Amino acid sequence: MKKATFALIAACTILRLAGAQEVGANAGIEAKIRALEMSWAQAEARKDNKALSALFDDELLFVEYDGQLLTKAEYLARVRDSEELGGTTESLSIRVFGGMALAIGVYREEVFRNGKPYLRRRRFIDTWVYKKDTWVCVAAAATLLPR
Amino acid sequence: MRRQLNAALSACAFVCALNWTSIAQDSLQGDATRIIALENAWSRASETKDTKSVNNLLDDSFVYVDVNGKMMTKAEVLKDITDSGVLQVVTKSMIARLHGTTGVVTGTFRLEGIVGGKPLRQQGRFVDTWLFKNGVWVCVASQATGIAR
Repeated sequence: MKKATFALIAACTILRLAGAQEVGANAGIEAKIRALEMSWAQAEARKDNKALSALFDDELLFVEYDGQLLTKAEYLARVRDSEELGGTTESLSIRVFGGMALAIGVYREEVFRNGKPYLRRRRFIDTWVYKKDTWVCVAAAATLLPR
Repeated sequence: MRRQLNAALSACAFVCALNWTSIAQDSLQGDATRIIALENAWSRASETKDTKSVNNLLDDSFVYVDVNGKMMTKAEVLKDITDSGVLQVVTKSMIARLHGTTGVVTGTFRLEGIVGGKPLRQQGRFVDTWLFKNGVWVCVASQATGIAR
């Protein structure tokens, strides 16, 4: 009886430890993805294509808020040629699925049209995958939010 | 003799590696085809309001962003399928990319139906993220974006 109780306590402890370890690992991944999303916004504002290139997988599928599908090269060219100044991430939540993570949030930016500034907000979902010891973005999509 | 044996073993290893690469490639190709078939099944199930089938395709943590940027949970999406007047869902130009146990699909869609007695016609582009979980592919996220005219 004592042996069975001990075995049960040991099993429960191991399970709790394993669970705690997973929670800890996920928290680490969450922090990493948040940092990468922040690096993305900063690199885009600086038009730092070298830094941006390192964040994306070569097979990136990027859907702009106007529905255009862009490759990695097309997205980088768009950033380089853009006259927009960049913006800020209004909200961001991360969901971790082992070696894959989703970053879901809202991005806001002030843009100019015909010399007049207006606020543009878009909701995005970015898919990050752990590949060759690093996290890379494999897909990104944005949808314009109503004004 | 030893050299011949080494050469034979090397050749064997090379052929095995080629076969393994070919098997892995076939498997990737197979998974991409499978995911696109699941996308088509999702469209058909939405048309027939078969929420049971859609339920099996979506992970419980599923998140959806519609063309207006509205975020919905799995339960909300299933309710929307039941309540909406969508009669036809046509998907086209699908591209699937596989990254281990993650699959990403993009394509265009066109919805047609009747809402509030008025004809509904909506088109856009979608990006769906699939995950290989417990031996099956499930969709964990889907986003729709209107295509500017």
